[in-house]
Amino acid sequence: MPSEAQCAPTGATLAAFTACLGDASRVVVEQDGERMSAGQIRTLATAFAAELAPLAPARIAVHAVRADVTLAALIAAWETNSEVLLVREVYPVTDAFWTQHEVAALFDQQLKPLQQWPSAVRPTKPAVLLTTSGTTGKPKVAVHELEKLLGRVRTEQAGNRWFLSYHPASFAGLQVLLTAFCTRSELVAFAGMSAADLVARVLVAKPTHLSGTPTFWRALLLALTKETPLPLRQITLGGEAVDQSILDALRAAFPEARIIAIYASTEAGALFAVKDGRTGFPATWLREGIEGCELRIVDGVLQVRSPRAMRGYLGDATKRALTDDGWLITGDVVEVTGERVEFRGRVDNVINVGGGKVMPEQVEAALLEVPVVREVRVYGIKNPIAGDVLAADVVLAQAVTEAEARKAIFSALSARLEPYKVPRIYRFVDKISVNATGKKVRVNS
Amino acid sequence: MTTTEICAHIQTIVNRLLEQKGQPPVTLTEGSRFLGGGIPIDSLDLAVLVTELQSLTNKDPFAAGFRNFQTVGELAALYAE
Repeated sequence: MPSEAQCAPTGATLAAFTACLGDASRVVVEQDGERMSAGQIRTLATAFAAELAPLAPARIAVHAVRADVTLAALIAAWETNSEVLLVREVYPVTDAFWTQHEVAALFDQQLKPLQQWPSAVRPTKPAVLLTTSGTTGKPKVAVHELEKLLGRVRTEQAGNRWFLSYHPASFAGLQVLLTAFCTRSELVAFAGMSAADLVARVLVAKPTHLSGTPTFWRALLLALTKETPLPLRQITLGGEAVDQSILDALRAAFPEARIIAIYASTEAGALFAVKDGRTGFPATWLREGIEGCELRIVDGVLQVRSPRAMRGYLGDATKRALTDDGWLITGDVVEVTGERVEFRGRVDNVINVGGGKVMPEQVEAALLEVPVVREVRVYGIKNPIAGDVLAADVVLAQAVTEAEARKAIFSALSARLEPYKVPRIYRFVDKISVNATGKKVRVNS
Repeated sequence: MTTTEICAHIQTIVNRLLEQKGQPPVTLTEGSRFLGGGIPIDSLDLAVLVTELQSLTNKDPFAAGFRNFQTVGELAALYAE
């Protein structure tokens, strides 16, 4: 295998990107059950490019709910030298969001024009703009050059059947969309569906390649039966911290599949992949770099320098994400244990329990190894004595009484974790809700 | 709720926390001291008790700042009508 560090510039190129529409009859996207050929995508993109021509080059926004429309919008933007902002939700046209970000025109999920604004921005090269999934207020907008987005896309494995479990306007969703397209694979996509509904569609769609959050994979494993085998050849995990129990469960369920954990973010782009079936990544990467990226740990948080990072945020928010010497602060808390760097959770998810810092992801990973636990969310509840008290919503895997479950969970966790990291309050629920990017909804009350 | 009713809830919640830890139940009186008084709970259990009482009564006696309490009766009085 070639050194991963040398692979960065050898991904798909822009020329290869548009060449993927060459065979007009090839099915590119199966959108909501409708098979869309390369010729149909070409027609959609050409019509949209014609619509953009009087404005171009311009910064435009598209309500990117459908994979086929998103693909056509990307091609049209590329061909008109425009910047395309992919949005997951449409604010009212009177909202300051559009003018603040100097958007010239907004299009709906069928690429029909909704509004135009006078705009002074004349892009000099095509770019894809993505909104960050901020938890408070309006999202920030990250600017990515299309060429860099293609940087980790390998074109060797062609003719697969991918399934889109992410929103097409999320960073992970866009990566799946571009990967499927550049490898001349089919992409099965459904617009605006809940994670639970998507799991049911996977069982019918029978993809060979599927990328999802650990939360999504757990839901899929639970829905899987002997009567519904999946021909998966590649399993990709991303978006949330990966725990060993999900890696092991996937290995057991799909012994033949490649299992890959992707480390990426909207700001940092696609950084690297871990393929050895273990959580975290080798500590040697801190010294040697990986896939063209440099990594370092400052104050327990991972910082990166990547050739595939965003150009910046729109506006002046970039400074807050970068250190003075130009490293991107990922916000991921990591810990070096021997020859491994392990992810402990997000800085902004830290819960303060009696002065001790708790990463909910670490506690969730421990909980998921308790046999009676099927799915879980750990959160803090504000408390006058302890700052926060730790609580867990638990979906039970077995028919046990709540009292038995409490006892089993508490003793299993107390044997492994520091006492303040063991949740004291348990609520037994039917399901754990996830957001549009397939991640657990994190609300500390 | 009266102080006596809240004391009964405190007894239930404390015993649920003890059961969770695999410890035998206790019988509490209004004069029982929470910490350092023979009940095998820690300050985090006490914090949980406060959170549970708040959701039970919809009252937050600590909203304006911390208030000291040592016994079951003193805590119950904070939540009583």
